[in-house]
This record gives sequence, structure tokens and C-alpha cells, in this order.
Amino acid sequence: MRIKQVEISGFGRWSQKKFDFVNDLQVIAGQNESGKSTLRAFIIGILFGFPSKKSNINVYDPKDGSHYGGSLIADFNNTIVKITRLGRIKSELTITYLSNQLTIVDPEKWLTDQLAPLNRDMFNSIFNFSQQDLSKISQLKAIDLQKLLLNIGAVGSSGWLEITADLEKHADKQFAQRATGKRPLNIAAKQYKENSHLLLAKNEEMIAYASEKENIVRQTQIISQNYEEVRKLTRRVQTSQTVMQQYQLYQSAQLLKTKITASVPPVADADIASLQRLKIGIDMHQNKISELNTLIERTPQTIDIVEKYDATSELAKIQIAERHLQELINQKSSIMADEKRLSDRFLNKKVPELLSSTEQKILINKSKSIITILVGIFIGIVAFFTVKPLVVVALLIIAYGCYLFHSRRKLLNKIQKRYNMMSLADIELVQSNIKQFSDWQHQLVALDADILEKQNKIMAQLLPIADHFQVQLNDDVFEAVIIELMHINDQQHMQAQNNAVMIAQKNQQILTEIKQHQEQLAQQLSDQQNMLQKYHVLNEQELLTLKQNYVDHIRNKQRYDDIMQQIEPETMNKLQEVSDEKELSQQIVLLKNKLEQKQRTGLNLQAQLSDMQAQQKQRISDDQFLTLQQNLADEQTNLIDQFGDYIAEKMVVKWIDQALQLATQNRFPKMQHIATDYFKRLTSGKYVAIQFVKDDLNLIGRSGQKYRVIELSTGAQEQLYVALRLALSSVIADIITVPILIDDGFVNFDSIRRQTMIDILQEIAKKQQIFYFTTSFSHTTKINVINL
Amino acid sequence: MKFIHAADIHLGNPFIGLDQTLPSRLKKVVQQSTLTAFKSLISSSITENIDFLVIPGDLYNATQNSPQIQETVSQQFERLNSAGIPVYLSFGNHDFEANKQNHLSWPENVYVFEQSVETKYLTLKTGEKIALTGFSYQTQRQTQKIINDFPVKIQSVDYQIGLYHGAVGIDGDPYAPFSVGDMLKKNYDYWALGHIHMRQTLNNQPFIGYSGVLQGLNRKEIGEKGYYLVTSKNHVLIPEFHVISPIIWEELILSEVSDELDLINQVLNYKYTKTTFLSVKITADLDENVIQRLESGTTLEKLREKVPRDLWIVNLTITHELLTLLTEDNIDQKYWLESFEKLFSNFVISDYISNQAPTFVRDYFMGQEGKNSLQNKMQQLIQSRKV
Repeated sequence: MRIKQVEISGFGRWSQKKFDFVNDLQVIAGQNESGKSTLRAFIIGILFGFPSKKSNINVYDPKDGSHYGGSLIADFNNTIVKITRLGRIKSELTITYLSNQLTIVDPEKWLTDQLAPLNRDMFNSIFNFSQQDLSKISQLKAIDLQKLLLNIGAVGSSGWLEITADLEKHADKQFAQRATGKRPLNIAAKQYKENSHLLLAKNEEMIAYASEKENIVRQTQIISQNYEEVRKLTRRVQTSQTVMQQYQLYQSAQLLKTKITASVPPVADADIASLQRLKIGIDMHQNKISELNTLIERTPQTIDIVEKYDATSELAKIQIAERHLQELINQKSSIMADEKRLSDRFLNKKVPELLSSTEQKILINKSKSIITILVGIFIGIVAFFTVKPLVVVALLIIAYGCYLFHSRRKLLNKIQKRYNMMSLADIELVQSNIKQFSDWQHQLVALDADILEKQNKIMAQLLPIADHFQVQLNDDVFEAVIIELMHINDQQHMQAQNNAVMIAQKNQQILTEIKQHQEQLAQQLSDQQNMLQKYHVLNEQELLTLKQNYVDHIRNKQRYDDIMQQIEPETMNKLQEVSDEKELSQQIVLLKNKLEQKQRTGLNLQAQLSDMQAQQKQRISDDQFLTLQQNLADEQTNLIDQFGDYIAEKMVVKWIDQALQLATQNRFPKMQHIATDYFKRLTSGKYVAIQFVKDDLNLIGRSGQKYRVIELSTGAQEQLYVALRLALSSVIADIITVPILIDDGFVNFDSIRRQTMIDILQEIAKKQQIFYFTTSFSHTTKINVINL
Repeated sequence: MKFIHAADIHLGNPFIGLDQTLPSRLKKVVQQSTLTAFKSLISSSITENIDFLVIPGDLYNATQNSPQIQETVSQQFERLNSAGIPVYLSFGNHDFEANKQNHLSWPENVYVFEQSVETKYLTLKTGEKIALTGFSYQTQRQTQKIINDFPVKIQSVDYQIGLYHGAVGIDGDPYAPFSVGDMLKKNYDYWALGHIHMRQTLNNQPFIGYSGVLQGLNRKEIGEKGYYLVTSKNHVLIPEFHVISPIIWEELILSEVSDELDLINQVLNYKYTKTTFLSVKITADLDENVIQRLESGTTLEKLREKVPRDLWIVNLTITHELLTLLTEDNIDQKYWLESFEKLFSNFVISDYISNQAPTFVRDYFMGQEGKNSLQNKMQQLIQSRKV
């Protein structure tokens, strides 16, 4: 491929610039900053793409703002195309055939195919070299220089060598082969080792766990044994306690046994009953007898009753006294009748007093007043006709007469009023009766006193008799009372006589009865005696005691049987063995103690078991095995990954070295020839051969001496490097021919050597286009120079 | 006649290939997962009312054991004991020493096979007579063809079942090598195999096969895991697979990824039914930026934040086909390949790591898996450095 023309639209300091190139050696000369490197970068950019903006790489943005990019006309084996790239970001590539102006579809692929197997890096490493590459040589260590030179035969060797150095350095930081290494992988490996030991140590836990499990099983067995023992002991204690309890019972049974061996005669209940019945009969008869006797004693004697009380004579006397009294009363009554008759005349009023003498006179002098009046009238009539003044006297006399008449009338009226309006005549008649009335009254007083005295006398006599007969006395009617009393007296008399007869009869009856009872009593007493004799006892009490004894005996026997039934035969056997209660209770205490001890042991064992189980549970829950194991597995993954990275880096280093060596060794025979020629010419024949033996590079001097690379001068080293690189690009040119770009390559060369170099380049340029960028150029032969 | 064939229970097996970023909630589930699966197995055995349980090896993950594991085994077998279900147990290459180590005594329903081949007999309630023949490993390796010691089917029994922990192979192979032909010759009715974690059938009738691991243990053991419930149909023993693992491992391969967001969305669209540990492999060509974010772990971190709680992204890896590695650089391609091959053909781990590195690391990289991972890492390294 040859580049015919470059047309820059905008790239760095270049814009709207067009360069035409020759097909062989094209020299481009210019001072520093004249744009040589920019042009070089443009060519590479068109071919392999513009650099992307990263890591401080110059992207050559156009300084005047022109459209980024441009085009290049290239000749690929007589196919001439125009390659255009425009725009830095997402630059657009178009390729058109110059012959027919057709645009190529998928230009990127077409271009890559044309340039294959080259890419930017390979192109740079094979066909593009600069002063920088040369100046590095003087700075390299001998071994590295050797390596560099040896690897020139391989594509991109210097880049690869940098990579190997870099990788080696990186890898070495990760891991040290020696035991004392403290690098990350060493530490990780150690950590892993420790962790795996830790995991292994977990096995101890497993041992502990397994043995503890066995212990738990054993403990469980021990506990169940203990439990069994406790159960047995509990039973024994219970049995012993039963024996102990029944011991009392047994003892009382034994006591009863001695009691019931003595025989006790039986006492029939019927006998007791008949005896009791007899006793009741006896008692009854005795009581009856004594009762009847008392009755007889209490019955009054006939005589007593008959002569008791007789008021006959007394009553006769009283009867006479009463007749006297009656006469008095009659006397009184007649007087009182008279009196009554008198008082009746005055109706309800009191008998008036007797008229006084004045009153009697008035009563008799009836007409005195009338006479006076008549006199007065007469005088008056007379006077009137006569002496008139005397009429007054007459009048006075008449008035006097009237007065008299009037006062008499008044008095009479008063008297009449007193005498119940009786006529005056009657009043005069009554006057004698009124005189008698007071006599009567005196008589009555005397009579009343007499009557009262007589009455009292009779009363005093009557009272005790009435009392005796229980008759109420009425004051006045003595006669009836006396008769009644007399009658009662008679009746009583009769009654008393009757009673006496009846009592006599009754007493007779009682006596008969007493006799009967006495007979029966005798009979029963003898029966009772017989009964008592039957049981050889003296009285009922003794018989009852005998009976009680018998009942007790029977009861004891019953109780004994009961007790004997209550006690189980087994216990009975034990009881028979027991010699005394104390021993038995001691035995129980011992057993109880033993039981308690066993129970305590059981509890302790149980607690131990719980602890063990808890610990075992803890072991399981604390089990970190799975976690540790997984962590370890994760660590393994990491280690494998990291060691993988480490080994890969180390291997890549080896891989690169070997690949480069292989390539060099294979390519070297061809290169050797070319390079030797160049080197010989550049050193003016000082060195005649380059020997490549195994991994070693030797140079042969004119007189056959062998030089090692480090023995060369810096200039000679540079010349060797250039010779080898040019030889490489010539050899590679067999595969692909692309222009060689050399940027100020030979500044350290003297003028003769530089001339030689230009000659060599001219030779190479016949087959392969060369762009030689330089600051100044002068050469004898005609060479196309573009001065920037 | 009904029994369960459950092999490779691997009690207490840690999950391999997880890192310390696993959230503690999942960590707990992970740690208990084998125990959980085992407990479920026992529960299923009881609910299915099986006649017996067959465990042909690797009940435990390791000879080393822990109280929790022991307690679980003891309790669970005791549950079966109460249910009257016997257990036939043989030990494999992982738990060969289990019976010698400290452990709780087996419940009386557990029948352990001795080191030499022996036959145990069982009569079911139905009157059917069963013979079970098996053996236990005595060391980690069982290089002899122990299959040769198995007797042919006893005529007096209705069914004979072989318990065999091993792998198909020839005499000298480490895990009781056998061939299907060897087994067929014995005329057994069922071969309950253990050792291979992937469920597989070697022969249909009579059935010879692996029930597979009860719970996937690393990212390679993908898919549902469980046990075989075996029933007799017309006197033929037919296994039926039953899922039991509480956690499932799965792999998602993304062959086309445009950018990080697309990658995350693709993972988020992943359908799953239970707690899933997902390994994501990217085979797609990726943008330089995306690769960088992947390499630095940023993408994984972001992804883990976004996925649901019961989906765990185990890793996010980019894989390359070796041959496509340096296509663009085919000038020296053959030298690179030659060098690469030489590197691995002469690979000795001691050239790279001293005995300061743990043995398992050294062993791992000597193995094919380790080498593959190294190759992948190297390619990624070169890829990333090339740019």
C-alpha cells in the first residue's frame, strides 16, 4: 500500500491542507512544532481510526474550528481509493474507488481486511518508529536491551515486553514464593491454613458431642435404675408402714384373743325380758297396794260425817226474833202510811210548817179593809156634797182601805202558795195534821233504832249459819233465808247419813282389792326368785352384768375375727415375725432414710442429665462447623481465583516471552541477512555479522571477535536496533506492505552514518513507501522533500 | 413395593465457588441446604409411605462431621424408625470413614453395609422378599472391580437391588470401576448407583442409574436435584424423579450483549422458580468499556444490587474460544499458539507457586478445570493488555 495524497479538513494545527506524496522515500522536513507529528498522527488516524479522548492522549482537535478529519488517497495493489474520516466522536468513514467513484459498503470492514493482520498497535510496533524508541535504548539495562533486541523479530515486541514487566511486577506484589512472604496471597494462604486447622479442631467438639451422647445414654440408664430402686424402696416402706399400722391392730387382736378364751355363760334375752316383766308386775302390785292403803287411810269415818253440824235450834230462836222485828216494821209502815197521806197533799212539796198566829188572825179577819173603803166612800160622798175639802180625807181613807185589802191578799197568796194552793179552809183543816206529823216523825226514829238493833242481832246469829251453808245473806229478807237455811240444814243432815253408808261400802271394796294384789305379788316374787336362782345371781343388776359380760365376750370375738380378716396373710406372716414395735419403726426409719437418699440421688442424676442435655443442645446450636466449612470453601474459591490471577499473570509473562522468542527465532534467519547488511554499512564495516544463538545475541567484529550487546557503544547499539527494526519491517513486508513512518530517527548518527542510513532507506523505499520526518534534511541525491 | 433411591446427599457439603460477598441470609440457607434437602427427603419418605430407603454412598460430605449434622442424621433416621421404614446405607469415597469416626449410634432401622460385599434381606408387609446387596468404601479409592464380588440374583427373593457407589471404568480406576454389562450379568432388578452427581440412566430395564446429588453443590451441578421414587409396575422397578433441593444452580450464557444495561436486563429477564444461584457466562464480543467494567467487578456489583433477593449471581465471566484469540494478530499467531500449548504441555505448578500456596490450590491448577480457568484468565489478560 502506498499513500498518494493526504487532504486534511481539520486536524490539530492543520486545516484545509493537502499533501501529495511520492511512491518511494518521502522526506517531510520541518522545525519543531511545524506539524510533522500531527501529519503522522493524521495518517495513522485515517487508517486505524482517530484516537478517542481518554487518558490525556492528544486528540488533535482543529485549532481553528474546522471540520475534524480529512481524507487520504491510497493505492492498495493498484486499487486506488479515497479514504475519508470526518468527525472525531462517531467519526464517519467513507471509502470510494477513485476509478468509478463508487462507495464501498461497510468501509470499516473493508479497510480492516486490507490492512489485516495489522492493527494500530502492530502497525506502530512494526512500521512506525521514532527517536523516542532509540533514546530508550541508552536507558535500558543490558539484560533488557538484549531482550529487546532479541525480540525485535516478533511483532510488537517492545510493547509486549513492557506488558510482561508490568505483569511480573504486579504478580510479584501478590505473592512471594518464600515462607516468610507477607504479600496478600501469602497472608490469605496462611489465614486459610489457620482456618482449616480451626475446622479440624472442630472435630474435638464432635468427639465431645459423641461421648457426651454416650454419657447421656448411660446417665439415662442409671436414672432408670435409680428410679426402679426408688420404686422398690417406696414399696418396701409402704409395706413396712402397713405392718406398722396393722401392728396395733394385731396387738389388740392378740389381747382380744386372751379375753375370748375364757368361757362366759350365755344369758337368754327372753329371761331378762321376763325378769324385767316380773319386776314391773311386782312394782305395779306394790304400788297398787300402798296406793289402796293410803286410800283407806284417807277415807273419813262415818261418825265424823253424821255429827258434824246442826243449826236447827238456833234457827228456831232466830225465827222468833224475826217475828218481833216484823211487828215493828209493820208499826213503822202504818205510821209511814199516815205520813205519806199527809205529804201526798202537798204533792211533791215538803209538808209546810204550821201557820203562825198572825197568819191565823189574818185568815180569820177577812173584811177590815172593805169596811175602811166603804167608810171612805161614804165620807167621800158625803164630803163631796158637804164639805168639799173632806173629800180628800175620804180619799185618803179609801186609799188606806185599798192598801189594807191588798196587803192581806198578798199574805194569803203567800200562804196558799205554801200550802200547795189549797183552799184556805183546807189550810185551816190541815193545821192539826201538820201538828201530828212531827209526832210521827219522832215515833219513826224510835222505831228505826229498834228495828236496826233487832236486825243486827238476827244478822249476827244468822251469819255463821249462812256461811256454813254458803248462802248469800240478803239484809232484809230474813224470813226466806231462815227457811232456806233450815231447809238446807235438813238436807245436809240427810246427805251426811247417806255418805256414811257409801263410805263404809267403799272401804270394804278396797280391802278386797288389796288382798287380791297381795296374792299376785307373792306369786311374782317367787317367780323372780326362781329366775335369779337359775343364773345364780342375787338380783337383776347382777344378771344384767352377767348379760353385759356375755355381750362383751361375743363382741370381742367378732372384733377379733374382723381384725384377723383385715390383716392380709402376707402382713400376718410379717407381723408374727415382729418381736417388738420399736424395732419395726426403726426399720421403717432406716428404709425411709434410704429411700430419701435414693430420691435425692435420683434428683441429682436428673439435674446432671438436664445439664448434659442442655450442654448437648448448646453444642448443636453453637455448632459452627457448617459456617466455618462454608467460609473455608469461600476462602478456597477466593484463593483459587487469586492464585489463578497470579499464575495467569506469571504464565502470561512466560507466554509472551516464549511467543516473542519463537517469532524472533523463526524470523531471524531472514532478518539476520538484512540486518547484518544494514548494520555492517552503518558501522562502516566494523561489525560483519549478527549471530543469534539460542537466547543470546552476539556480534562479530571485522577480525572475527565476538561482542556482546552491552559491549557496544551507545551509537552502535542504536544502529543495531535500527538495523533489526528495518529488517523486521522488510521481512513483515512479505506479508503486508505498508509505508514505514520514521520520525527523526537518527539524530545521534554522525553525518556519514546518516547518509548511509538515507541510502538504505532509499533502497528499501523502492519496495516500500517510507515517510521520513526530520527537522532538517540535506542529501546529495534527488529526494522528494516536503518542507513544512 | 415402593422405595426411594437417594445418593450423594453430601450432608454438610459447603457450596464451592462462592465468595464472601454472599449475603448472610443466603449464607444461612446455603449452609443448611444439604441438611434441609435431607430432612425433606425423610419427610417425603414418610408421606410417600415407602417400604425402605436406599442410600448408596456419600451420605456425608466428609469424614469430618459435626454435632449438628450428627444430630440431624440421628433425628431424621429416628423419624423413619418411628414410621417403620428401614434404611440401607453404604459409604462412598467421601464418607468412607464415617462409621469409624465418632458418631452417634445408628437407630435400629439403619442397616449399614460392611466393606466387603454383603446381602441383606427384607420381607415387606405384602410378603414380598427383597434382597439388597452392597458394600462400603474402606479408603478414598476403590480401584478394584468390586462389581465382580456381587453375587447373581438369589432366586428365592422377589426383587434384588444393588447399591453401588462408583463409576463406569476399567480395573484400576479409582472409583469401583464397573461396566453396565457387568451389572446386567447379575440379573438384579434395580441398581441404585451413587457417586456421579449428575442424574443419569445407564440402562433402562433393569434400571441402572444415578439419582444424582440431592442438592447441587457448585455451579457445575446445574438444574433441579432430588431423588428417585421407585415403584414396581408389572414386577418392573421404575424410578420417578422427585425434586427436593432447596437451592438450584443454573447457568446463563449470553451470546449477544450490546452494552452493560443490555447485559443487566438480560439477566433480570431470567426466569426462575426457587432460590437460584446463577452463573452468567458471556460469549459475546464486548465493547472495551464493558469489558473493563466487567473485569473490575463493577457490573457484577450493580447486577447483584438489582436482582431479586432469591436470585444470586455467582459470577459474571467472559469466555473466549482459544482459536479466535489472536485472529487479528496472525502474523505471529502460530508462535503465540505454539508458545501457549508448550506452556500447558510442560505445566508444572511448582514453576509458578511454591508450597507456600495451599495444596488444594496447587492440586486445582494441576487439574483440567484449573488449567482451563488459567487459560481463560490468560486470554482475558492478553485481551485486556492488547488494547
